[in-house]
Amino acid sequence: MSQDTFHAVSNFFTGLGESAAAQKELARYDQTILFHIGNEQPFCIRIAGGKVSPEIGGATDKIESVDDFLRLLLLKTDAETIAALMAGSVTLGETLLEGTVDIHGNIQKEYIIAWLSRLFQRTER
Amino acid sequence: MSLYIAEFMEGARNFYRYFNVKRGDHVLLVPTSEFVYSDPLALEALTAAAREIGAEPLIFIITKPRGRQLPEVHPEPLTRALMACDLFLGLGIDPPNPISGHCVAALTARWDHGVKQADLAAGRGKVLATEWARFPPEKIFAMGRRLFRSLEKARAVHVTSPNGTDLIVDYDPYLITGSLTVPALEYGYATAGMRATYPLGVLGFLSDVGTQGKAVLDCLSGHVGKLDHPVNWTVKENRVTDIAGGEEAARVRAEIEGLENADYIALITIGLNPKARLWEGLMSGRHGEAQRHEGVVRIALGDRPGGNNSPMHGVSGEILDATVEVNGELIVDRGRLPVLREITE
Repeated sequence: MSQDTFHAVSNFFTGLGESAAAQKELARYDQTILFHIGNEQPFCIRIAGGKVSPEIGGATDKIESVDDFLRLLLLKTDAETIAALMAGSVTLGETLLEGTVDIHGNIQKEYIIAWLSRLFQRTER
Repeated sequence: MSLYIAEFMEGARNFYRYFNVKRGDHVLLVPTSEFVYSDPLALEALTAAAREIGAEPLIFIITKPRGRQLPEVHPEPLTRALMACDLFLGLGIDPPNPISGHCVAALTARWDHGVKQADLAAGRGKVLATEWARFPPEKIFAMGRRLFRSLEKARAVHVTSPNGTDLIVDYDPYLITGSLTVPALEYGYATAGMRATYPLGVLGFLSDVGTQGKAVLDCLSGHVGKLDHPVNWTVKENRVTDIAGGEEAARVRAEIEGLENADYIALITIGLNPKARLWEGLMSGRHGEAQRHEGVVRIALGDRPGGNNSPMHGVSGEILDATVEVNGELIVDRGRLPVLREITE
């Protein structure tokens, strides 16, 4: 099973920490983003205090408490779409509208979606 | 009866507190031209209350009524303004909102820019001067937190009513919606990207496929007042499989026929606002105020917000005098909210 996407996504998020503006944006929320990319093994990007820790597996997709719900974002997509998001050729909002990205609780976690969208676009609020 | 701007100010200030508007925020008010003519004091109050905070209000008047067909397209200058502000509020008379939740520009503003979207609830205008707009958002949050403590322990509620409702609603407690979401309860205000209708007052369940039973509706959207004969919906796997009960039942069957997901239960809400008027609220076709009246249970059909095949104007109906039980606790008792008495005491 390929781990190409894991490495690409890990590099993207760890690379964000090199820019002061993106670092400030990263530090806005603590969040574990659990990626399900096609048939690849799930992986997560943990963001805490602005620090990024990628991990294969590493997070359960079970939400059993308010804390789980607030700290965990479940994102399903395909390798092509995640590559386009990282390249900035499409926004997270556009992919949600197209249905190529699915986020659990997208009505309740719009503040995290907007934050993640800015990270993908390398912009800040 | 003549009203003065002072009577609108408390409602306007409550609105900004709920949406956590701060100094320097850009607030975009988007009234229809009909609203500007019918309810000018609301616009004045919203502008004045924004300036009290140090926010920067702007007004963009919509002169062309919103179409009933998707996709909903707005002029480019408005689309850009929606992306650039921190909060926008659609203001209409009936239909209430010139910018729907299905609008691509609105969804993009929320998802890519974290803009908050507000709608002013349906009515005949002067809504901000009403008692339900003056009901403090902090009390709605207090009720929401108390209700969530009960709802979090379960995955189903049981709705009954004296006229025969017997419905099991399957839900995920972390996906409660309406004026209150789990993040909003946590932070104490509407979070970035959130959409809510003002004045406040509903807690909503995104019902899931285990939802089943019978709902006997006392009122239906599009019908003024209470129905002469209740309409019965048979529900299986969260879809309405049979509609019975006279002329109104026939109208609903005709409205949803052939529309994909129009039989799907999108949302079930409980009204939380003791100051929202029931009978006056039923006088408008959309029942905006009545839905928020304490203890009213509303069932709305149609796909999830943002769904690609959503019927834009879904059918909904209300159960009056409902009882809602979760884990043996009556969170609604014959149309009354025990939690309201608790927080008041």
